[in-house]
Amino acid sequence: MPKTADLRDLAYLIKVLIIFTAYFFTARLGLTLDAVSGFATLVWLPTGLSLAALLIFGFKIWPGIFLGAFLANLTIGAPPLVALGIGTGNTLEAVLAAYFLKRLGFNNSLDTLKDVIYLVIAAAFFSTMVSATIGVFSLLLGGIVTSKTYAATWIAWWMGDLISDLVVVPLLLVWSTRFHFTISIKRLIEAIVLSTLLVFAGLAVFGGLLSISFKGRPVAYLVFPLLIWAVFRFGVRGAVSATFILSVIAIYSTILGFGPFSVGPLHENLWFLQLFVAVMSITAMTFAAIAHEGRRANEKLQSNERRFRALIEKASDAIFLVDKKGSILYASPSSSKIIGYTPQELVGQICFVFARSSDPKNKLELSKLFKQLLKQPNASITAASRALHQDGSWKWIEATATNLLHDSSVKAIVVNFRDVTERKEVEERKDEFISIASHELRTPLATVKGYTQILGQLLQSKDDKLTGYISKMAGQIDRLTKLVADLLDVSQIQAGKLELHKSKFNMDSLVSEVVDNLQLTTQHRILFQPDGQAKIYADKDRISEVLINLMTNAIKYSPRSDKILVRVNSDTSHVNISVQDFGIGISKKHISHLFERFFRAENRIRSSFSGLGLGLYISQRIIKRHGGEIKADSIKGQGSTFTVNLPIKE
Amino acid sequence: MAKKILVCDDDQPVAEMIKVMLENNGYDVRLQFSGKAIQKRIKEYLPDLILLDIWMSGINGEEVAKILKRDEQIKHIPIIILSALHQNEIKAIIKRVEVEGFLSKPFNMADLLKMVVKYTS
Repeated sequence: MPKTADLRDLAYLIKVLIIFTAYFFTARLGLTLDAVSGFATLVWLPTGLSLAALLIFGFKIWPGIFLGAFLANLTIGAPPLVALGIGTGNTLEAVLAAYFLKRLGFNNSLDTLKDVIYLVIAAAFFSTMVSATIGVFSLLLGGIVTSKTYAATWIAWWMGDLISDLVVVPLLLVWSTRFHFTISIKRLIEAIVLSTLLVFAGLAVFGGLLSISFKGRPVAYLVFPLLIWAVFRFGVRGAVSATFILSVIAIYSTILGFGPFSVGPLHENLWFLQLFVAVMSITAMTFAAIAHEGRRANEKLQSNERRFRALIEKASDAIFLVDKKGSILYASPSSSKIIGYTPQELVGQICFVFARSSDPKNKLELSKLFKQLLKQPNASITAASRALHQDGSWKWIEATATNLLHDSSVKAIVVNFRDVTERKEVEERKDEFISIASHELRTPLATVKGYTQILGQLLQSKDDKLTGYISKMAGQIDRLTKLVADLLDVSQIQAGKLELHKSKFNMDSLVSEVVDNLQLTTQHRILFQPDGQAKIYADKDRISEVLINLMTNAIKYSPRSDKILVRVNSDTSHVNISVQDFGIGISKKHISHLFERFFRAENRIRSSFSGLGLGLYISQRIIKRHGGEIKADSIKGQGSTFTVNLPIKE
Repeated sequence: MAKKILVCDDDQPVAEMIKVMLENNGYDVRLQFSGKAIQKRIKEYLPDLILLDIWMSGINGEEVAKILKRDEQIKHIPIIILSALHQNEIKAIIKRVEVEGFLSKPFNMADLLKMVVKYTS
């Protein structure tokens, strides 16, 4: 079995052989037609053939071109050195053209204007000059042309090559690129009719068919309508194929002495014909490329539009486009799923018409938000509202409106909204559950706590041991009470229901009260340094809760220390309360997480420090709700200072 | 003569516990386990203070308080709300009805006694 490499070599050799054969015979054919100085011919197929071969098969097959050109010239009687020069020029022409086209990013499908321009300028116009110059110079050196005939021979050579690049290269390239053969019967019939008409018209205009002699009459333009048909109905392939058919017929007919170009001597006639063919080819290719680009841009636009339309229409969120008065310009199909009205019924309505009938206050709030949004380009506002469904039921709708009035591609307020009824119901049920749970947990606690205190009162100063047990029980009940309270607080905070009941009070007195109460429960000495005035307007119970949290933490996390420092100081606008301990401290990486829910700095020694890790979270929320802030400073092993900063008035 | 206190709470153990607490401290206590017929009961007993629960089966303490505060014969008697609801909820109720005070459960005996003293003297 042959190796892959051998097969590759064989395939390469076959390619080179095919190029050589094609080149050799088309060259010989060309040279038999009216050749200027015997070698420069006006119809030089091999130029197009060689450039197309290099573009399709790659640069490696150049030897085929060189051998074809060299032998074709040698066999019609050129001296070996002249044939060698001509062969070199012809090869160089094709290689240079292919090189520059590749460098420029040329695409073989020729379906953009850029490709057409590159082919016309880089290949047809310039690269062909190389071959003409080297070839004719070789003839001059070989004594075959004289300096008198040099110019005419050069122009004939150049034009022959140029026309080949314009007619043959596009045909070969375009038909060699892959395409989907999904032609319908209709298109096939149209193609056959068009081809037949092209051949017929070509023969009639250029070839003297129908016994009408157009010899020397300027009627070449008669073929243009068919060419335009080919361009606009069959694209680049239609354009280059029609050009090729007409060119072949025109050249052959002119050689035979027929048609509008048969006026003078053949080589002169062919020269004018070449001009006509060049213009025809460039025109057809240009229009085909422009039409293709336009079609493609349009297709892209349409497919984008389809995609975005599908995105909007299939999305579960519904979308309104609303003008600055609140009137609906567009409603996506999902709207009908959410509020029951079809997009047709919605367009033209004011977008908060559904919220309107529920609650006048709600409507007022929504229109206030809307007015606020109008003032802020690109801003978004999210709000939830009850809305009346077409079937008469009430829904909860959550909507996000974005002001894109100034965005030239939208020019509207985009409102996307969804049905959150279920979520709201679950939230409501959860709130209700929390209330019940709160009630049900606290009620038995109240009884146990009450009886413990009654027992304590009864046994006071009668039995020290029993009193001790009872005060331990009371302590644990307080702890349990605090835990329940914390958990419920968190639920309330989560539900956004942390309400403040503010009053005016003296911060010094509150802190002093808390310190006195806590002092009864701890061995630590709580040293309080009051401010002297510190009046504040805040929720006294909540602030007291924060102070208790901070001081109990300070006690809890300083087991080996014996004092806590509490300071209050104030200025005209703020009151500061700091609680300082000299305990275990908090490491830097933990400090930023301190105020997170359920966070405990020293998880690993859980057994030493009890608690759910809710105290600081709740404290922070309470302080933030007051418009203040709470922060922690700590050095690991030396202690921590928590500072609360509260505005005196909000 | 001992001050008379009416405790209205549908949770029997709590009501009884309060009764013990107050009796130990020298008060005369009667219990009422529902809001029904409470007006009649008050008119018979003529308490110096009413301790009223909010969530009771069958009737809402808030409604009871409203009724009592509309009754010319009764409305001078101070009412203290006792409830295991979250503080926020209790405070919201206090805003709606004119009662004298509230205590949230579980409460400290000392706080209860302080309040009782305040409204019965």
